[in-house]
Amino acid sequence: MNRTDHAAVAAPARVRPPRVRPSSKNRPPRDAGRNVFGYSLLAPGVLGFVAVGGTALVWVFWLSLHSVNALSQKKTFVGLDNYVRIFHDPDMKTVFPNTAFFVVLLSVLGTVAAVALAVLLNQKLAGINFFRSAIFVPALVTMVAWALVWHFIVQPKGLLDGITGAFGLDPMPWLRGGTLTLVVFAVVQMTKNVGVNVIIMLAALQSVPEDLLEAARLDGAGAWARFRHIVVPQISPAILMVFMLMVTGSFKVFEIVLLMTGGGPGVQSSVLSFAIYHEAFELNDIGYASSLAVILFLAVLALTGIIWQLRKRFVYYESD
Amino acid sequence: MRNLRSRMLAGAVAVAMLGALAACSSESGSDETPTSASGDASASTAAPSGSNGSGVELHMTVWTSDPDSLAMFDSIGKAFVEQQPAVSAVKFDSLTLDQLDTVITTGIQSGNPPDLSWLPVEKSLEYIHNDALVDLAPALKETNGYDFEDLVPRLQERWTVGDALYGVPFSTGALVMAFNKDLYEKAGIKSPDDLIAEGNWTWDSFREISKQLHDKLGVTGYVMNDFDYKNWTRLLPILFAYGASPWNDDATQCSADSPEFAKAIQLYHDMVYTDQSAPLPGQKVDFWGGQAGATTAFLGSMNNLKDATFKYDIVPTPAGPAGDTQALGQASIVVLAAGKNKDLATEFLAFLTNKANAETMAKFYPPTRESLLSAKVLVGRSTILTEDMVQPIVDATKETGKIFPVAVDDAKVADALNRSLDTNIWKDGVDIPDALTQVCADVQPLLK
Amino acid sequence: MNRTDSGPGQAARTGIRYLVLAAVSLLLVGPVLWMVSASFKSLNEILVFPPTILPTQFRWDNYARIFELQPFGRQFGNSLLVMAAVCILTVVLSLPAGYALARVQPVASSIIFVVLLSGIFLPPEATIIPLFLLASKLGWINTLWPLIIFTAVLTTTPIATFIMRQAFLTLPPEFDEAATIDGAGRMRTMLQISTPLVRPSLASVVVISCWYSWNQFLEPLVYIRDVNLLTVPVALTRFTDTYGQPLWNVQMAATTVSVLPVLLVFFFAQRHVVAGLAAGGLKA
Repeated sequence: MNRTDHAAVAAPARVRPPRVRPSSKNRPPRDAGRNVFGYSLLAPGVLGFVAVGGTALVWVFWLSLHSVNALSQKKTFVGLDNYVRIFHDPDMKTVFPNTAFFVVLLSVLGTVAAVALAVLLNQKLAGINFFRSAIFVPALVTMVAWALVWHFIVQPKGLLDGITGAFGLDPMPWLRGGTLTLVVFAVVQMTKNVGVNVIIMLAALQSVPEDLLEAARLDGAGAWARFRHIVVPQISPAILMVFMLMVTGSFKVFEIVLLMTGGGPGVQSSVLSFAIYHEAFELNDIGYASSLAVILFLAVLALTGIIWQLRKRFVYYESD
Repeated sequence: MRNLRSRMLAGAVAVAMLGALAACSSESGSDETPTSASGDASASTAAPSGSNGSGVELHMTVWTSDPDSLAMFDSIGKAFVEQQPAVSAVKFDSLTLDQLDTVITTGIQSGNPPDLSWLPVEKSLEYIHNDALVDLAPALKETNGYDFEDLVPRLQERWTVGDALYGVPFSTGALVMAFNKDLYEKAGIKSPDDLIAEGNWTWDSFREISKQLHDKLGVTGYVMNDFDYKNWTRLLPILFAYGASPWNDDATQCSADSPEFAKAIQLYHDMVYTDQSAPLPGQKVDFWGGQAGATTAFLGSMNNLKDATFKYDIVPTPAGPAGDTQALGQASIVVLAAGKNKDLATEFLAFLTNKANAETMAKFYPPTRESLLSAKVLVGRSTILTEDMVQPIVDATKETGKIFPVAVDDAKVADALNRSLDTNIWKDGVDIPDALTQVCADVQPLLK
Repeated sequence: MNRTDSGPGQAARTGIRYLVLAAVSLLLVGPVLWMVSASFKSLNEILVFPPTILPTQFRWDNYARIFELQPFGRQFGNSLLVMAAVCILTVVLSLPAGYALARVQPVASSIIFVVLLSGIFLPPEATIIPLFLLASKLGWINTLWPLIIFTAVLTTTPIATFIMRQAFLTLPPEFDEAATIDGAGRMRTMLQISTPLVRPSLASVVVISCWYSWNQFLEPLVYIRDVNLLTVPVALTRFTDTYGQPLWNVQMAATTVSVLPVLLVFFFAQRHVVAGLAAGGLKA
């Protein structure tokens, strides 16, 4: 698939004026055949999704109302007790803020970083291609590999301590909890994904019509004004895309937590997704873990709603 | 922009296609890959039991992947199949210890649990309380030539409820100390052997030589094997020496805030933060590679020394105010109550742990039969252990050894204890007795 | 600032740009280089402080040990198999669904779209417990099925459908109407006329689903216990000696091996990427 191929296919579609029925409008009437055809196309994907996803959600909610003893296979209905327990669980006073920390920090900072780097990489500089490739390297590495390597780097008396030591600093307790550990996690997560985001942004940036920028320049708009009022609206779909990827990705901190600290010390570096895994698969407390999973789902649902609203307000192009 | 994207993505498609291609080639080549004993686990899911019509297939989960011990189990399994036509095969599925609970509970859930399993002593009460295990005592007593009385009662304690016996320990190993003779020699300081000869083998004196070793050579003095600040049971040699335990005998009352516990923890804390002779949390130090003066590990782990490039010795762990005592880890073989072939499984267990087979297993795992508790049996054909090394350890096992404390809800209690110690204790500048009050506050609600 | 800017101010700005780019690149590529370096070190050297930048002695046998400790080749094959299956399944499910949502728009399709969209944000951790129980009931524990079916149906298909829908929406509205009048069947219109035009998006669906399944960690961690059925990410965490002690140098070697093919393919395809970037019009 190369440029000419693509052009050959795409061009006629754009050039040839469509033969239009006199009665046809932009949206033709939905006749029965059309519905049948549409539903038969949608059926495999949607039915599968609804069957598996629906079963899972109903089941997890049902489990969350029970106390489950996996060993003796006894299941007792306890109503909302598991949810009440979440409120009284001192661990959750750390887990929830940590989760929110990652979702907010990673989605906002990750998006800003991607835009900034894309703008930087969109410059005409000698050797820029090298940097463009370099930035994509972590994206090619699996999250697990990335976390394992970083685990080495931040281990006590590891590479990072060696580097800070060269500047005369004492070794730092990178993984011993508190904000420092959360920041380490955020860096690991963000460096892993920034490449993909930058590529998306870069593609969007390069599709900004040059004549628009030129016109603004002639009107005397400064660099920032041009960026703010022309570039940003033009690339807003890409910004939304990256923001969405970062939000979903921020829950993936799970792997980093599991491999680097196991949530410790105590639960200082734990997040909701890790707590679910820990309670369900390490402590065999299926009921409680399910109630946490329901909370996670509700939080994500709320987030989806918010982003959906944001899309309508901030995204410039939506051909829908 | 379209062109740009299509090109970029064309590259990505190439990645994917190459991947798919490689998948095909590696699939066809996979037959040559050596498979371990668990290699047929997937096949056995497809055909649950006895698909060849001649008897059932028994499954037993183990957490070793050592080919030699798996081969030994396989040959005992084959011998059993020959004498019991109702069983077509005994399969040993190997996994890791942290997978065990999930595997067993999933098995029960899907109606297809393993028939037998290894079970660590930490889980004994939890499984017994949930009626998950079969009482083996009647069957074992009836089995001809089993010699039930030969099982040392003190070492079966955690598996015994009244007359019932819910597991037969096959491995009761002490946490022992191994040390690197070369490093002590190089530093020109007393070694553990010297201290033992002086009759001064205590944790205090060990702390002192570890500090000297660190000060002179800059190496780590002492690293607890498999501890990583996540596994409190590895602290037991110190805790027991100070007469400390995290909870009382029937595991109803937290005793981690006792003065004894505080003293024991203080000793190790000082080694880490004051002397810097033990690794910091998260710091990786490899005793077996020659980076540390001494380690405490299970006797079985001493096989790690087979590739050692240094001279070493193995000794019992130091004594403390509570005298000379050894911490014993234990694992038993159990029959799961949810299994489909409980009677045959029990019969196999009786066969597996009879005198002759127990002696075979003793080459790999320290036994609990009186008749086998000798340095000679334990050393076996080992190239690492000698009878001189092992004799004091055997004596300790028989007389002064104490098995790990067990709580009913072990998974949660151990998790709470580990996490609480990690949060409150393992950092610089901690008031230990104060912090231990918090530890008990965290653990007590989970003790029943 | 305008195009004719020059002089010391411009040079300083360029200098700062290079500095930032170099720092970012080091942060992103440095860990990979460190991994490769560590993979050649002995177990002792890997823990030396201060660390050595390059191995004092190259230990190639770390690489041989990867395959002694685990059936790594086979695990690699498992990963590729799962990746290919997820990828194909995702395309098969999402292409028609995206087309239907964008161009056929049967009754209630906007509701269907919102339902599917929720899948994009449904984290696997929220559904792993019931899916794990479901897999036990289906006898799928210790098989690759849950990694393929659950992942494709629940995780990759929603985002893929979203991408395909957006792509089909960009085609002119009268486009498929015209084709229909030309006598093409609806199916033919979709497959032979519309689909070729959204190949770039289709490619990005392929990339995203491959990428997701190649990275899967929680799922194999929960569903698979047989080492022969493990996929690469979990296998990487299991490089230990017989007593469970991690062998860090071998682990780094295995990690390097797992990363290498992907990096190589990237650097082969990179010319296309870079050419594409350049052609995309730095100067238009």
